[in-house]
Amino acid sequence: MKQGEASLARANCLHCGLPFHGAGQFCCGGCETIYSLFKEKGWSEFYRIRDTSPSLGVRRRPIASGKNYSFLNESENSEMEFFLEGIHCISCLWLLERLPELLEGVKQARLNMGTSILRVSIDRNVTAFSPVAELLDKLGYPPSPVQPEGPSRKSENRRFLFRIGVAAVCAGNIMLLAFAQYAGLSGWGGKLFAWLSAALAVPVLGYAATPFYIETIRALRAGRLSIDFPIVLALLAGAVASVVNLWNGSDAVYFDSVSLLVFLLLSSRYLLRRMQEAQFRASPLLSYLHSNLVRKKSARGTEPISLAKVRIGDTLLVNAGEKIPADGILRTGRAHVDMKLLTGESLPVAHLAGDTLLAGTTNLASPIEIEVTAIGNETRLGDILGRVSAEGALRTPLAEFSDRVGRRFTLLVSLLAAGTFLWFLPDSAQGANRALALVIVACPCVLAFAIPFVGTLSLRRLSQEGIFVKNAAALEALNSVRHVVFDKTGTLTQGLFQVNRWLSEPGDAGKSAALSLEWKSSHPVAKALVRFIQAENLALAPLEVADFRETTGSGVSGKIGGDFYEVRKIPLDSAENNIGVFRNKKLIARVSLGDALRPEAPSVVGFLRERGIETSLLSGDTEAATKYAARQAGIPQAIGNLSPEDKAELLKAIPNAAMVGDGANDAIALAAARVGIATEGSMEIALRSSDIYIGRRGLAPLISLFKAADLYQTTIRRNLLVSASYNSLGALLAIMGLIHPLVAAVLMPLSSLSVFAFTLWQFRGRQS
Amino acid sequence: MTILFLLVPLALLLGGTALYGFFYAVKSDQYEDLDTPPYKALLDNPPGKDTLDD
Repeated sequence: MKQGEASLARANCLHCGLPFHGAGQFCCGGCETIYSLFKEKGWSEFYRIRDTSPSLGVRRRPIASGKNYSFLNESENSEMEFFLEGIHCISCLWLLERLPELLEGVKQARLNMGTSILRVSIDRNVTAFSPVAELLDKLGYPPSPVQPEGPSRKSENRRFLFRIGVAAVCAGNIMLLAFAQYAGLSGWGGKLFAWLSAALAVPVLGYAATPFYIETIRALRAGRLSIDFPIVLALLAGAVASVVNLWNGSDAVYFDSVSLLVFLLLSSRYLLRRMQEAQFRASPLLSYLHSNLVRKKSARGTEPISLAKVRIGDTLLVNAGEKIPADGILRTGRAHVDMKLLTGESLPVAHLAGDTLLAGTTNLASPIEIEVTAIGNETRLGDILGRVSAEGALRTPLAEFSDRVGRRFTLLVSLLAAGTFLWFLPDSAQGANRALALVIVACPCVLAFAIPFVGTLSLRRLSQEGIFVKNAAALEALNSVRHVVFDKTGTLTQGLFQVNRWLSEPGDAGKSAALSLEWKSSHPVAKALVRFIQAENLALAPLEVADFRETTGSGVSGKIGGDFYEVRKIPLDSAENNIGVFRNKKLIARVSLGDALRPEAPSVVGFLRERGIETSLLSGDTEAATKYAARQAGIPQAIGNLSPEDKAELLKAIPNAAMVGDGANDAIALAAARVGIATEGSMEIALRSSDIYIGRRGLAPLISLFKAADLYQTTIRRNLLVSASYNSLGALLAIMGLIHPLVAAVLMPLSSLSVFAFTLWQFRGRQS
Repeated sequence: MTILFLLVPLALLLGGTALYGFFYAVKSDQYEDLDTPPYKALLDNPPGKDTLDD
């Protein structure tokens, strides 16, 4: 660590390890507190584990959100589950499971790394949940309480596993017996084995396979054929034929294939289910927002009340850095508001008393008071979220494609089998054998098994890279995308002010003055200027300022050593924000501030162009800023000054468009696009409106995403091809009577296994 | 062939034992979280302290 260096150098924080500018060894007070806490406990082990273990996800600077968690104390349970943001490596696990040592009264803390859910049990006589949540927040894991999963889901999961276990044990034993028969065991030994396998098949068909029957019957009632239909048909036909043959004294029994099929199908479905659950147990954010506390101004001062109890006309107090909880009219002097969440506007917007402020925006500078005009769903944010869920309902479900193909296939196989049986009608045994062989050999295993399997593998790979895809259908849709629309602020750019150019006469007079003045201001532009000057010139120190004044929406001024200096906005319609440094009303330096383009943006745009995908930029920012960013990134089309609704309208007009944008601010546009890809914001809001959430910073994951979609598609195509040729050949041979049902039964699981192996081979070593 | 009278029940017994073990594991929640235990194995306990877990 960089100890003892010049005080304002770029350094890495001793606690979180992320780089920062400024004095000392820590990026923020929070990190310093945690560091000294760990030192006191003798937990430097934390840093050793962190530095030596691979990172498993997004690493974020631990910033305490400072939320009030006292609403948690209304719960009467002694156990609660939290979804934690910012879980990234083993040291998080190490630390979180030591919660009982950090806070008296915590009995146990269990972290599930797969779902980022922490289950905490406490002794209610000693502590409550709000200190727990505040501590988690302070440690850099903002917690959201989640609905603990009901006993029903858990027992459902158990029943699924029991079924797999039963199918595995029975299928294993039946196959053991079948080997002997294939090897030529006959006579009373063969009879015994055949009867034994029949007995072992009873639990498989009667217990393990019940989900297939239920699904088929449910689909039939709804008037359609489910993909499980031929499976059920094959299972029942195989079982009935085997029993009949067994009764008639023949050795042709198919219990082994039947039970193996059940086992394989159950296992693959279980894997898929687990995968989906792990990703989508995000908590409902809105209900969480509603249960939050706000400060209401009353005759006796301020009192904390639940947001749900706020009425129109109440006056609320909002501190600097807090989200504004409801739409309302500003009652105190002035406010700087970050509107990024709603409009995409990159600069903080200055408001004066009487202006309307919107819920979901962030109050930046100083504490303000607002008079509430709209709450909950009546607010603009509520309106946006409401529309998003309406748009979301129009989405096509995951299983649509395989269902469609599966239905046709199912129908075809059933018709062919019936036709074969009828063709040989006088000789019903002959017809039945051929039809049975056909149904067994042509079972659409690839659809029931391989497509979900490929999907699971793809989603798993991506989630390891911090890319969360809602379902395999989204990956599929990505392949048909011909146009990618980017949002500007925070997506194509970094969403952070940065000095692009500093034009001044030689010497440091301008910088020194700007530093001395802006040092005192908390405006984000001021912070960016200070950051820039300090990084450029370490030796500069703020000078004494007399008559310091800060003017809302304009700038700062003051006297330094007898001269009057001003740092203020120069109004110009350009791509950047222009700030001037004036000495005695004379311009001595001009600064262009902008939101820097992400360095990888041009290469990502280039990658898309190579694939023949068009790109464009839609932004709520000014036309000039939008055009400028587009030019830098190499995007041919750009439109500025758009509201989120405008963007959604434009996107609806573009067929097969993917939208890349901020999860909350662009929610409507993301939902309107064929594929919505959210880059920023909370995963909960993002996955309501979008199909894909990129949890890693930057645009580079887009490349991985498109490559993964490619691999998904080619693997499925090849699987379908392999299996289609296999199945048609098998079906043909079966109809011609060249395949005995017993052989078909051996071939069928063999084809599933080969598809399985082929898929794994395709994915082998492909770390996209 | 008479060896089958020993081997077949033995095979069934083994299968049954495995199934019992599996049911036990499922019932004691060992399949609830499959992601965290591999990482836990990498964390050493500080010398002189009791185990991290129960």
